[in-house]
Amino acid sequence: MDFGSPPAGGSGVNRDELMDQVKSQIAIANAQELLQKMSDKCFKKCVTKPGTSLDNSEQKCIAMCMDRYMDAWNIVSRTYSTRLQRERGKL
Amino acid sequence: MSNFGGNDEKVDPVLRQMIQEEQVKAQFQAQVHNFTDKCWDTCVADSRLGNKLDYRTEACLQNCVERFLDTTISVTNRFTQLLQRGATGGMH
Repeated sequence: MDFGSPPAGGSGVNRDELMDQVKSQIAIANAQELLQKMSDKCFKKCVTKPGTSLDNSEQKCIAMCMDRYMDAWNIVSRTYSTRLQRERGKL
Repeated sequence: MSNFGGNDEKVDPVLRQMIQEEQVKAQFQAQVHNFTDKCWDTCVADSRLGNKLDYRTEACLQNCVERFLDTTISVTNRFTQLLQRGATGGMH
C-alpha cells in the first residue's frame, strides 16, 4: 500500500475507501488476536487431559470460557480507558 | 510505516490524521489484549468458571490493570532516575 501518493483527482472517495480498508484490516487483526488468546487460555483451562476427541463437558467448558474471556476483555478495556482519561486529566 | 517518514508534505494531512487516530485505537486494543492475557492468568485461570465473572474476579481484574500500570510508571520513573544519575555520576 502506498500512502505516499496523493489521491488521484484529489477527491475524498479514495480517502474514505482507504480508511475503510485500514479499519477493516485492524478489525481483522484484532479478532485474530482475540481468537488466538481465547484458544490458548481455554485450551489450558478446559482440555487438561486431551482425549481422542473433545467431549461434551470440554465443549461446554470452552463455550463458557470464551464468554468469560470476553467479559474479562471488556472489564480490562473499561479499566484501562478510565485510567488513561484520569492520567490525561493530571497533565 | 516508512512511507510516513520520507515525503511528509505529499501525504494528505486529513488522511494522515485519520490513520494516526486508527493507530492510537489499535495500540489501545493491543494493550487490552496484553493486559487481559496477564490478568486472566492472575485472576481467572485457577478459579471455577461460572455464568458470569463474580464480583471478586472483576475487582481482581481491575486491580490487576491498575497495578500493572502503576508498576510501569514506577519502573519508568526509577529507570529515568538511574539514567540521570548515570549521566552525571557514571553508571555501575
